[in-house]
Amino acid sequence: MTIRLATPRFRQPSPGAAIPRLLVLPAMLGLALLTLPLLGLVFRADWRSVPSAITSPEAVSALTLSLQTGAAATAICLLVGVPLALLIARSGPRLSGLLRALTTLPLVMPPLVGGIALLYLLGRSGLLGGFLNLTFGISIPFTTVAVVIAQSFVALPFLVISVEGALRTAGTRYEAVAASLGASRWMIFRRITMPLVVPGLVSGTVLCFARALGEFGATALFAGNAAGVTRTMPLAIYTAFNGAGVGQDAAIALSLLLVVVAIVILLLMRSWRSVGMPR
Amino acid sequence: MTAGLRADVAVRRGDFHLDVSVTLTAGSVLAVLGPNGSGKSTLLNAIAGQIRPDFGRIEVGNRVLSDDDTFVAVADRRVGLLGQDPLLFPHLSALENVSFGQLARGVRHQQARSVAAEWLGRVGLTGLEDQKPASLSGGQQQRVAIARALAAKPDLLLLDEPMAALDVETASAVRTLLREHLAQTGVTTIVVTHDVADAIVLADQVMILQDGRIADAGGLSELMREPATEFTASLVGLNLVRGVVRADGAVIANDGRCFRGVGDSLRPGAAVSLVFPPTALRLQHEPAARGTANHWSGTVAAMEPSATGVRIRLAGDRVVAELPAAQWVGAGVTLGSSISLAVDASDVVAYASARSSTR
Repeated sequence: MTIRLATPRFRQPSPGAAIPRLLVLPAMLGLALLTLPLLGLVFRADWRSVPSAITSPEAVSALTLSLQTGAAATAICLLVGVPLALLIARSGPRLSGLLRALTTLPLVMPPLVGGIALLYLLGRSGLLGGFLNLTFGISIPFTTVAVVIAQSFVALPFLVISVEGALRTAGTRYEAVAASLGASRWMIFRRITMPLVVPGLVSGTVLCFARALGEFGATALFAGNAAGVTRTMPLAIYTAFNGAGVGQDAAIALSLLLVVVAIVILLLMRSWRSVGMPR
Repeated sequence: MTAGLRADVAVRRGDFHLDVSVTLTAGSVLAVLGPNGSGKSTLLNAIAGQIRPDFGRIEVGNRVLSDDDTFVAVADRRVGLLGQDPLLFPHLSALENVSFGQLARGVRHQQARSVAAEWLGRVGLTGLEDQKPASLSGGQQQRVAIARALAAKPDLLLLDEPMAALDVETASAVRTLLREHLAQTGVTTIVVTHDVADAIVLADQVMILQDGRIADAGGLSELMREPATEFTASLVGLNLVRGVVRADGAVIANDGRCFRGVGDSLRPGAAVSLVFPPTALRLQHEPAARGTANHWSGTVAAMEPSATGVRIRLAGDRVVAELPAAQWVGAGVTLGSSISLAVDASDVVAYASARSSTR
């Protein structure tokens, strides 16, 4: 029949769609740039010391803290990021352009700068932090909460951009049909809008979580490096690396652990996509 | 529940102006035809609430949907919409798609599902309840979309070229199905189409839109017998020529041609429309003398195959002639040939031009 499906599908490239041979070399160089450092890490690792390094109390504590704060930051990003993405996707071109620029700012800004900015906003003498400190006696910097805020700050753009793109691709035609059937805005959001962007939502969430796990700069400045409180995996690696020469092996082992965690996340996402998605 | 429609819609979009009044009694079906860009879809979108008219008032039953102070949201209009793309929700099964409108109106889950199953049965899709739209054929998808639109019990149903994306056979089956269910539910319906078959099968009234205005309106048989515009005439497969009746009863067309025809309105001085089918025209061997009635000459400007032969149009003339294959092959007619055409007076029907052409 002649009706085309409205949902775009990924297509296999046709065999004839070859790229110019000249471009294969730079492509390979790019791939090497991305993968060879990991190989370096694997070869440099002192495999006998890896098990003890990654099961040491410091490592376990850092990993646990990373996973907990990363999960908390991802949850926060989902709660505020999905509505923000919807707002951007459904605004007029000028407003959405402005909102998108503001959203991507942390993406192009060095995380260190973000850390300093957070410190001056939420620090004890900061714009908002001073008020919180005086009124409620709350101090955020150098706490686990600060870690979560720093991670949310750097990870949120990944979720918003990903979900916003999915919303734009899905368009508003199904929503218009749902409205003509009498559905309220809330019902349309729950039953139509969200299910249609699930793939974008999942990949956005994974990117967001991965970015939160790897967050270093903003955390270091805003939350510090207190073992068990704010010393996440990246900070633990940095600390081990900057310690005495023996620490470098621990740093490598911890780095490998973080790489493995990232790979596991990616594999989980892939398998979920192939199993969970409607054809 | 059925309700009538009273709509005065004015939309301004740059140079394009739409000014249309529609009144429909409860349960009637109006076909809106017109060339591209005539404002058909704009009219539907205004009634559906997708765009806000600049002026006017839209009432369904005794509810005002739109006027200077009121603009009822799409979700509260109870106006169903079905286009050429079925737009089934891709993540929901056929049954879930059909039950969506019921759930939106607060019907309980179990009841919504049984109503939806019943509707799927009515459109001939029992057994496909759990299928996702992607695994249904185009015709099946459009059937689900019809069931979904009707199961929501709209007061008014708007169809925007619902068969345009289907192949001929499927379109015919879906059209018959629609006709059956529009009659059964008695829902007031507007169907926008460019296919006169849709109007014939589905509608009891027809409106022709041209440049944002109603060019012709009325019952289908009336329009087919006495079309007021060239567009209507070509839709129903007739040639239309306008002219004024001379003292001797002959009609002088606006382009100077002379016609004789039949009809009560052939009174001297009257402005009349003349219609005759393309198949009534015959190829003549001798060229027409100036002023001879029902006989003229010209060069062939366009030729295309038709079901029984060839359709021909002469340069500078809107009249279409449909000639049997044998006639034009024998005469050696090609593009650019000079030919003469004639039509019998008994095939030319005259009627007063002033009939409700515009409102």
